[in-house]
Amino acid sequence: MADTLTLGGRTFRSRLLVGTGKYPDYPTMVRALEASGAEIVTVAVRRVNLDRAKESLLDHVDPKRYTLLPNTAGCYTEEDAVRTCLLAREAGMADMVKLEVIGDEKTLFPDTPALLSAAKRLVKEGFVVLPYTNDDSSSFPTRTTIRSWRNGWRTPGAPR
Amino acid sequence: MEIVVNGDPRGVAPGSTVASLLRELSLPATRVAVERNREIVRKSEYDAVALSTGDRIEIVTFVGGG
Repeated sequence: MADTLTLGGRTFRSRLLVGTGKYPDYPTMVRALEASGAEIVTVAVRRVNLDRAKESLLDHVDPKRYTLLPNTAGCYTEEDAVRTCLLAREAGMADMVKLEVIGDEKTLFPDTPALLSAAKRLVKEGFVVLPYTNDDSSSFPTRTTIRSWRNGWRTPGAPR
Repeated sequence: MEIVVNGDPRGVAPGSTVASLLRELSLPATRVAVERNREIVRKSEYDAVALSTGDRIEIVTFVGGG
């Protein structure tokens, strides 16, 4: 049997999801992505910097080769996170998102109630939600909800 | 007339649209999303949506991160 990962109806051979931040330059990033074998790479959504050169991440990461996963890193509220996902979709991404609602600046642990609420809204909007959360049993959502998130867990503290 | 783009005031010609603003900024419409006064403007409406004095425009794109 093939060892594959299925998320939101799409099947991947690699279980590795890699980021696109903090590389010294685009060529280094491209080589790292290729070497990783990952098929899913995360991207951030930010205001266009109108003063800077117009070189774009999308000049270097081919969306036909990689599944681009917009994330809501840096969002501290449900509203901000939902808005970021809607903008990402309008900017041309598919409907799979990595959802973060940060509750603590230092540890980046999630604000779980806000994360859950944002996830419910996004699932209704047709998104496949990969929540960035932990297994804190006191605020753990129901199994039904987890199924609707289609089960893409990440552990806080893992390398980003 | 004056509008605000990503937090900074900017003068644009009367009759400007979202599409003409993106052209002026050399931003490809395929790679950005635009909010006008906190409402997302659909790509199909970029030509049709006329800008008004005082409009607050947010233009976002994808960058490394995550």
